[in-house]
Amino acid sequence: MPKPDSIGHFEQLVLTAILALREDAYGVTIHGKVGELARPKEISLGAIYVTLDRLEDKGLVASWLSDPTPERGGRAKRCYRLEAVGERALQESAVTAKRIWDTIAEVWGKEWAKQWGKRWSKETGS
Amino acid sequence: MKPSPPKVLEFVVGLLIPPACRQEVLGDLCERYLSRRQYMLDAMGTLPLVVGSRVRRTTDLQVFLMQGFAVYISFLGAACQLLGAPFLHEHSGFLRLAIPTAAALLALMLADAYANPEKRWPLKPIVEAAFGVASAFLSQGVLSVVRGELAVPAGIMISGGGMSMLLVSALRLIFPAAANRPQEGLPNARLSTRGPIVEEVKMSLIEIREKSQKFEKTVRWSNLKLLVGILVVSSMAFFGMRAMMADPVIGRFVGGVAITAASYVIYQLYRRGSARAVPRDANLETSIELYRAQLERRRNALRGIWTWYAGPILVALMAFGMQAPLANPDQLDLWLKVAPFVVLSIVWSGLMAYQSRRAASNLQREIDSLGPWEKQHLS
Repeated sequence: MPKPDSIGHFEQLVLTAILALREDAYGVTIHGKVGELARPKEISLGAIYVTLDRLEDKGLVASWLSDPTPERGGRAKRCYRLEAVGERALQESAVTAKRIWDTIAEVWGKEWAKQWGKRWSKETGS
Repeated sequence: MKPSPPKVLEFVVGLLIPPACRQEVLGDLCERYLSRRQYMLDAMGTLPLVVGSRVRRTTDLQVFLMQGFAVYISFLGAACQLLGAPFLHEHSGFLRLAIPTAAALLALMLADAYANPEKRWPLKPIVEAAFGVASAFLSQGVLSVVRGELAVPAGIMISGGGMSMLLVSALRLIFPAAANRPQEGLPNARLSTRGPIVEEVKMSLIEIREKSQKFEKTVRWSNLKLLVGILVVSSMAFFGMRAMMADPVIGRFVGGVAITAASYVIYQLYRRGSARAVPRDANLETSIELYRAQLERRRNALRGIWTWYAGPILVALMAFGMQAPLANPDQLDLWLKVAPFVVLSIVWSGLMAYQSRRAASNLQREIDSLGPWEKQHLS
């Protein structure tokens, strides 16, 4: 298998959103999910399209047109799914993020990590 | 009931979105609609990025630079011929000629971005080239009002514009715009799966995609070489047109032959010469079929190169070479002078045909090698 291209922070967010949304990943829902993930940063819909195009060119995601729906004025959605290369790129990013987290927690202490963990749980409601 | 955007507003926004992604972007904007103001802000924030992304996807840098070179050289050639070196050196000629070139390139870039992948017709590249040249003229119209001293004289614009039109049309016929790159999408939803069997098939799919991309590049370079021949004939057509004025009968005949040959070869190269890489969303079976079809198409084009490329160009070369002896039948020494040119033309055509037949045999071997590969991966 060829090695996937390196992916940036925003691309990681979009890939994660597609992974989380499964079959319902299209422009509006991906924008919503990326907005949640990137909180409190504001994300524009245009930036999502640009990134999706780039990810598709890199072969990390694939797209197809769904059937038209009345709530969209009879227009189709462009749905996205992760390709195997995209899944692997995301896995690599997650592993790197974990390493960063572990290193920071090691330096700043377990108390700090616990505090942040609690804060995240509150934010996500889990 | 969910509010929907006003039809007029939607129509205007729809016009500004490139057709390849119009449906989904308009649909998404419609789904997000809350108020007229929010819709307009949403559209204004989205449009530049969507157009920019489409421009990035549809602009082939190599072809873009070739077009820029062709347009600039055409204007430069016309300027040299009509006004000579003083125009270039003493009147900022190089800079002034760059302005219509930039306008034409911008128009060609937008024409690619706004091309509808579902609509293709044979004359599209020529119409797009005409649009590019028309934009160059438009830029001069605006410039003559705003800063007249930077405008290019009308004679140069007409002569250079005509040559640009010919060269850009040829380039766009040979290297069609990538209007149908990944935007086509999959016919239906398929969730990716993991596991050793899927990994193996993916591996093969990537292999065939890589082969196909490599083949596409090879064909492009090969076409570039063929283009040189067309440029030679186009130059002859240009001189032939000039000759028409000097000698009405022979000049008209040579010019006519050269123009016909150049047009015929450009059209044939457009019909037979292009190759496309396998789309990313095609499955393994389709990818192999597409790759095989591309190889067979190229093989057939190379086998018959004598009829659609080497032959017509040889006829044009012969007509051009014999122009002087035919115009002066009493000067027999002219025949001796053109003899080396005629012989060289025949040798060149023969070598071209021989080389193409060898290339066709190599392609046949590649086609044959696909058989066991198909059995191994598709059984």
